[in-house]
Amino acid sequence: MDIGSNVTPAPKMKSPTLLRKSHRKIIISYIILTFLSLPLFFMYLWLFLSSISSEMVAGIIPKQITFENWRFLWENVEVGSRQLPSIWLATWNTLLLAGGLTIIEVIISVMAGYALSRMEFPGRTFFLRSVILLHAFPSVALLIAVFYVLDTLGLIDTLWGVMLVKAALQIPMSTYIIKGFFDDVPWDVEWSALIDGCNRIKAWYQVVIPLVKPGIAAISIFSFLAGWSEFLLLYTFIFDDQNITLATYLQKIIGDFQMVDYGLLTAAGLFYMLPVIFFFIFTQKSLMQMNMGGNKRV
Amino acid sequence: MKKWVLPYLMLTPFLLLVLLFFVTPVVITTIMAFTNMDYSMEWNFIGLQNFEKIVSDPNFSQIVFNTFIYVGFTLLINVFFALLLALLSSYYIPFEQSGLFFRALWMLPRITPPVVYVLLWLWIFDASEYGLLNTLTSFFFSNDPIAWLIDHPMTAIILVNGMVGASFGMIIFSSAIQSIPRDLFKAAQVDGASEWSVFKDIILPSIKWPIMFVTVWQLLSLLTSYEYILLLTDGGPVFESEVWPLYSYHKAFKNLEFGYGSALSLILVIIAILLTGVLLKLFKFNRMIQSSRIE
Amino acid sequence: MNIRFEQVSKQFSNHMAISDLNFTIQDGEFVCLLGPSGCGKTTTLMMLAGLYQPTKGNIYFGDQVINHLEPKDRNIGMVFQSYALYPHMTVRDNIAFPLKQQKVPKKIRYGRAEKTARLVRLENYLDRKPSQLSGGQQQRVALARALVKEPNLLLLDEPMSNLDARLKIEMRDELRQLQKQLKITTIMVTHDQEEAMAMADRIAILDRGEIQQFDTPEQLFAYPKNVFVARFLGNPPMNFLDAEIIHELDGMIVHGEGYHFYLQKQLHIPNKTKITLGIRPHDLQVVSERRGIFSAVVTNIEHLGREKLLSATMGEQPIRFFVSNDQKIKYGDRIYLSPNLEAIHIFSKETGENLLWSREVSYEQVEGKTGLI
Ligand SMILES: Nc1ncnc2c1ncn2[C@@H]1O[C@H](COP(=O)(O)OP(=O)(O)OP(=O)(O)O)[C@@H](O)[C@H]1O
Ligand SMILES: [Mg+2]
Repeated sequence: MDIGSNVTPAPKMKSPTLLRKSHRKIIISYIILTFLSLPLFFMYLWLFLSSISSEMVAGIIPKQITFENWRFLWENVEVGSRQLPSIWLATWNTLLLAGGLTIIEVIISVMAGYALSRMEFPGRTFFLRSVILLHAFPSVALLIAVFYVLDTLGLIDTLWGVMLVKAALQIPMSTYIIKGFFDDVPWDVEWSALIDGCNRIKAWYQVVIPLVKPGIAAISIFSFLAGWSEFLLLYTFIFDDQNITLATYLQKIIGDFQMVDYGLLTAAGLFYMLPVIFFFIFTQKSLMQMNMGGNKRV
Repeated sequence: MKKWVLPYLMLTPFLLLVLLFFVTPVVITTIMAFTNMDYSMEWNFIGLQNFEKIVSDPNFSQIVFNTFIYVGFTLLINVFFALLLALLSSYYIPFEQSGLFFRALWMLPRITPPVVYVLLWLWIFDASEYGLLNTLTSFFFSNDPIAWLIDHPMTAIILVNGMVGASFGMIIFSSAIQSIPRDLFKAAQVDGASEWSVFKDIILPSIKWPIMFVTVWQLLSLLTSYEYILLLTDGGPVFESEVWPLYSYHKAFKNLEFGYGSALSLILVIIAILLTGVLLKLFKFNRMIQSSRIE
Repeated sequence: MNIRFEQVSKQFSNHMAISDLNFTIQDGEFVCLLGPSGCGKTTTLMMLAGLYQPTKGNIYFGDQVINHLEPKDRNIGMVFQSYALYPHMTVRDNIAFPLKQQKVPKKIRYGRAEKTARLVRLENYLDRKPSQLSGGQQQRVALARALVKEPNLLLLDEPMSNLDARLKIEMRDELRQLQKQLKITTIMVTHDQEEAMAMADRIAILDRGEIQQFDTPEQLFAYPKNVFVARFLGNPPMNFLDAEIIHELDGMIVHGEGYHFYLQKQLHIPNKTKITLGIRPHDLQVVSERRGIFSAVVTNIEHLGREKLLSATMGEQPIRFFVSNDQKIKYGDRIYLSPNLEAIHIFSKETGENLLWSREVSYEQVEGKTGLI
């Protein structure tokens, strides 16, 4: 027996047990995780199944497929004695709110994020601290006063008012995120632009902004979804049916029914969730990043 | 043009919105707390009467109790359940793809619009035999259907909020765990370290700070938000699941007692400011400040 | 256009990066800034570029103070260590970018960009993005972008540190030729002394924010002004030995541990002054015991191909020297060495100043010798 063969068997002898042990660990982990995730899985499965069936057995097994639940797409639904506005009006309003919010939020936070990341001015440290502070500050506690402010500005019961408030609540976070992207742009690229004849602003939009496109995409998705999902502000500040959005539309069906029509509700809910599902599937990485930044929702 | 004109110009829209919807509201809340403003929107100063009213409010003790229970238990779920999910999906399951799948699944509650998310729970808690919980209990124990939201409203709101918050903690803990060099685990395995000691000596130190951060962050959010409760039980039945911030909301927007509502809010605002200070300490702030390199 | 630094200092919050810099660069000259990491080379370039502003002192382009001139108004070209290409633009747009800022019409702009691209042999890569280029190609794009606007001054910050050894040597020649052809005043930062020696008309050696010596490569090598320059230049580095000076009639005796020799030179320093003796490895020769001045024991032999580099110790002090391949010397051999007395250096132990040459070689003399090229 030579020295070489004396050395090699040692790990070989040990690895099967190691392997078996860690295999068992992994399998148990899968079982636990799957078990914990089952309710979640069933919830979303039910959402889909219920939206296309007229009756369900044991709560989850469809008896008959129907599109009757989706009738809100082509007719105005009646809730109790009241007729709800068209879903398309609600969709349009939601789109308006989410789109407007995205534009406002992106423009403001890209400007502020750049200034905070890259420029020197008195009070910079103070501003940076405030951004984090505002980011963490639970603004819902201020809703009553915000109501007063909106009322004073004549923006109560308008989508614009909600859009502005929501933007204010969101910009600390998106500024903080986009600032991180600006921080990562190499200085010498910006220096090059200055030497090549740009002033600070030109260097900013010709060279730096194209380099933070992923960040801009991330905060755009994030603010769009935030606007799309918004409920509380709309519920509190909007009364007119002309300004109805999908969130309040859905809430009206939930709230007004004595006997809940789950078919209609789930169909409308699924319809409402479509963009969310779309972004969830195609932009998961950004969404995870956003949540690292700590989005405020409990 | 002075050097700092440009950065201030770029910050102006930001500052305007912050001034309008953060600074002004804090001031207004503070002032309004000392008035008895109602639907007439008149500023009648009444000194400390609102605060006396809070203490003598017949619902006071129940609401404080509810708030403690709600915040405490939800926080436990937010941190420990999140930790469990993160450990399972990022450490015990070594395959990137399946770990990612579970984490993505647990992101769902967070990105689902609140109205839809609550709708899903309404089905689970449905009082008829149609609801998921009732289906299960009647199958296993042949019980009669239970009106969960009426019999156990606190449990319901804790579960609903716990699950949303858990995904936040899970994401943060996962990325902390993933940033531990894999070699460390291998070395520990070779050294024959026990599971417990791997957790205690390798994983825990690297997630200590994230745990603190998540705890304070969630504490802050839980203390002041009520969106899901509003949608699920609206504080009911009667005041059984009413928490402090929701009470303030109800007072202001249901009873139109803006003054009293503000006084209730003001107390939350003060607690929130204190907690934000703690949070700011927890942030590794200096790492974020890089000075400009163009003069 | 001359470039002149006058008492220029740069202070970062608590750290003096450059102190009291004084020097003049002639029109069309190729100057290298050479020095160890952190000595302020980049800072000096950045002040020239206008990205940093001097805390104190003035920088002149010609006879105009340009301390507060914006970078865009200085008509300079700059190549950064990382090349700093615009990743979202094609090579063509990268090169044309400076002209775009000058509002040169698109057609003319692209025409000039293509001409410059040909100059650096990039004409076949115009439609690629920077990420699709090799390091050497990227470096040439950066160079073309710096050259396209025909700058008065070209600044290069370690432009070749990311290239492999062979490409480096190739680019060296190309860059040097290009610079002579276009007659652009050029300042290049490097910490590779060979590169500086090979390319520069004059080299400024920096240490801790101060210029140690500003001379032609030959002068720097032959007449280092102080220990720092002597130690910094030359590979393998100069040998340093402790010694003291004893005055004699017509000359002096250099006396060290285990050796002494007579030097027919006079120095105006007190008797028995402690000095540092400097001898380059190439200026030492293995000789017979009788003619040897230093006696040493061989501790290491490196084969360098054409010759061998030997390390030895004299008592405590290490010494290195070259021998030809046919000399049969083994580890542990005792050998005897004799220095070329014309090429030795004597530095003050106290100040590090070169006592033999500092007076002979004055700054003006050297400047007169090179001047314009
Ligand atoms: N923006 C800054 N803020 C503070 N200190 C700085 C800054 N830039 C440079 N310094 C300091 O000034 C000194 C000189 O830096 P500089 O970048 O000029 O060195 P260098 O000679 O280019 O070095 P290297 O060869 O490593 O590139 C260093 O000690 C550096 O730490
Ligand atoms: Mg440098």
